[in-house]
Amino acid sequence: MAQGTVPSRTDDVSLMVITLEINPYIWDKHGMGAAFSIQAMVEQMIIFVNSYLLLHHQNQVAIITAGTEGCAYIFDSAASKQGPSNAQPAATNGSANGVSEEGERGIGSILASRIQRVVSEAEQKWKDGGSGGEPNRTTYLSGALSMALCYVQRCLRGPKPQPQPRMLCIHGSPDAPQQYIATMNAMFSAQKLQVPIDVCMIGGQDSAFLQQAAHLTGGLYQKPPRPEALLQYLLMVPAMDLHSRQFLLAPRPAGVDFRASCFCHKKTIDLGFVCSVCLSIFCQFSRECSTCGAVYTMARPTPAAGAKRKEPEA
Amino acid sequence: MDFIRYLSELPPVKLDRLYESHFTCQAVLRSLPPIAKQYVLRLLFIEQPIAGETMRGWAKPEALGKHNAAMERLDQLRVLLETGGKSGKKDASYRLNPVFQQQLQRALSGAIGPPKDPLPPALASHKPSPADLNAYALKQWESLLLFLANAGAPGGERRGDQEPSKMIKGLLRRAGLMGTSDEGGVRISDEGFRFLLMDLYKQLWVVVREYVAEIEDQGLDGAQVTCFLMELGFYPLGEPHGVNRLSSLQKRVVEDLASVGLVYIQKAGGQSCFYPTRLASNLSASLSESSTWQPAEGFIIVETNFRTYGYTTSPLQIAILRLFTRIEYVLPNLVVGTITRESVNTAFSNGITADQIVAYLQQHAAPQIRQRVPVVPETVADQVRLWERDRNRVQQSRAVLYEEFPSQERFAAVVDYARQVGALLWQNPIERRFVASDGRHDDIRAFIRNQSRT
Amino acid sequence: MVNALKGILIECDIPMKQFIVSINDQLPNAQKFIIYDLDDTHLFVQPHVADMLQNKVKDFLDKITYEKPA
Repeated sequence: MAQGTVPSRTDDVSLMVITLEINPYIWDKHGMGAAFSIQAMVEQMIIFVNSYLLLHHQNQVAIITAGTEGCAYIFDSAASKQGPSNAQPAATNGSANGVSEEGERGIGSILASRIQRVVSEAEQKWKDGGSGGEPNRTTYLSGALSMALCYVQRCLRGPKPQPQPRMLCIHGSPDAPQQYIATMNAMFSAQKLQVPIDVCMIGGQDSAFLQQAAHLTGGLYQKPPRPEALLQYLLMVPAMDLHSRQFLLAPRPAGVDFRASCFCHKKTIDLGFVCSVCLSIFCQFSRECSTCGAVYTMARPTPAAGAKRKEPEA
Repeated sequence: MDFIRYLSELPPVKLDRLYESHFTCQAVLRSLPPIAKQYVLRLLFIEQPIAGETMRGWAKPEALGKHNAAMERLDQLRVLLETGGKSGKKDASYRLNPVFQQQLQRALSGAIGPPKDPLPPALASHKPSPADLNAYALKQWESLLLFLANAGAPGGERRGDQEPSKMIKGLLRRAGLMGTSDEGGVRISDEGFRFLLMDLYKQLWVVVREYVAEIEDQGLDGAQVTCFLMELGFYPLGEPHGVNRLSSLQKRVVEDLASVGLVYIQKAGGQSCFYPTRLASNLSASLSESSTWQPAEGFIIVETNFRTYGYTTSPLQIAILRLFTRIEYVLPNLVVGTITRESVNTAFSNGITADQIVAYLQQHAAPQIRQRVPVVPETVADQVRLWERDRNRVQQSRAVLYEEFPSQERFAAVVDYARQVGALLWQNPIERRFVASDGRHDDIRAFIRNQSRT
Repeated sequence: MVNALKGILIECDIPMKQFIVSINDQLPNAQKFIIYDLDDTHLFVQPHVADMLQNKVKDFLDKITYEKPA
């Protein structure tokens, strides 16, 4: 798969959609709570968002939280700049403020209070044991990505001039294999829309999905060794707008894990079977492809003869 | 941007004092080139100096030119200070100006926002809506431009609208936009015509720059005024601010700005407050060179048959269109004109360039045709440029022709000398003749005499 | 000995140069102004004809352009 290229612009206006992971498991259970609490993360996010909005008066930002119970939009800079009365039609693309005009509070307090509300709702549901049965421990990463892309599409259909869209994923939990298909679909849509996805991993491990996402869409993947200094990492790498990326060096990915997951059991596999019609991947042979319904009339072949080897890309 | 040049020419102490206002810091950050902005962000929370080599390593090898330009700009504005380093630039290390850094950190953490004043009850009932503010700003600004445009109309007749104040007239004259005409009245200058066709931001900044210069000439503190203007740029739109907490200089500035349309003053019962309008809010936005925001809806449609349709009733816009098109019909909501060679030549003789005309048509294109690529048809744009070139078809320059050189070496030596001083216009080595501009004739003659002596 | 002549260097395109040469030819000998014909696009002429030439060129260009009557 070829490395995605980022379309270049002559100015540095951009629309950034940030997906924040607020899964209580990673904040409490994976040992991050001690060194790096969610409050600290929120504070650093506020500074980062303020500095991003300050860079250019037309910069826009939207923040989506991804949790175990669902995703939600919690902030949209374009909407909050409209002011209490929407009388002026042509004023929507931005006043010069780095600070929102909403009510009497600044952007910081709005963001903090909204995130707090979503987090406490999630924690409440977690304590209540979920909707019966095993509580969901995985974050809806694909849901957040899809919501972000829908927002980008909506902006692209808005009035010109449009800023260049890009996404930033702040993620901590390990990959959820059952979300492989949905995440890959979201990623290919981003590639088509030419929206680069930057990734900042704050958990302890790499995420194969997000590595592939960053690589394919032409974004930057980063796993800061010290997550409590998140702000500095954010200011160094994802703050670069698409124009400046042509001129500044970015951290190169050490290596991308291109392994796929099978569609039937969601296990990561190196070697598998591929349907010749719809290209879905299976770990074991079956007569009928479950995705497209194509029927294979051949007798069950030996693994050596019939298996198509899925090679990891160089 | 002239404002940046103004800042970089201030003495360091004054500049540091300016940076004590976090609004100025934010405005300066916005005006930097993109790479410089990134560098500032990276150094924002770092206290120790960073080696120059490290910073050079941040840029890709092929982008070294941009890196150097960014570093130079940061140095000019004293945002980046050099610390340590003995032998010039090799091992210099840099850090952010501490005052600048501190103010920016405070601003970014959201700890401080623009000041909010409670509205006195007497004025609360008459709070103007954003639409009112827009209308006021537009009216004031347009009356200023209309005054300028009408002064350029033949005969310079006043159209009976309110004349701008003496201060504004003084500003316009100072900026070189108006001059005295032969009969002793005022008429618009070439620069003034160019000014009319500029986009709103550049116009605003020309006026503001002249205003600051005027204040300085009167012996008052120009830096404080600049600070206040930066602050205005960050105030939220349509929010009242009390006049009482301003210094006397700032109060005067507010009144002057009201006559231009940047703020709206409301007075009732002995108290007054001012509202920044959209023009003021976008002051800080326009600092960077690449601002593509359109202040008002476009209204011009240009067709490939050179017809222009302007859907407007504003006398200012009609006056501007009259500068370079031949108006044919004036309807209640529409002005139809044609771009002809004659009309364009009139514009050229007034000092307007073809690029300005095309840029104006592009910026004010009506929304229906904004999607078209290119916005102005190529036929029209090319033809306007060709008409401009037509005026320069024959170029004349006062010159001196030199001939009858005794030898080829002598000829070559004199031609080289002429080329070095930049006077060589034409030469023919075979016939040993060359032409040089008249201004350097004495130097060349002296050189030839010297040559013949040796 | 090097000779220095003061005058005006005219730089233009080929058709305009021919036009100027034709103006020169139409004048009587006493009023001819071209000192040297340098090459296809350059002429060296006497200094006093600057304005006259400018007007003649402008008239010529106006004559060959069509302008719709107002």
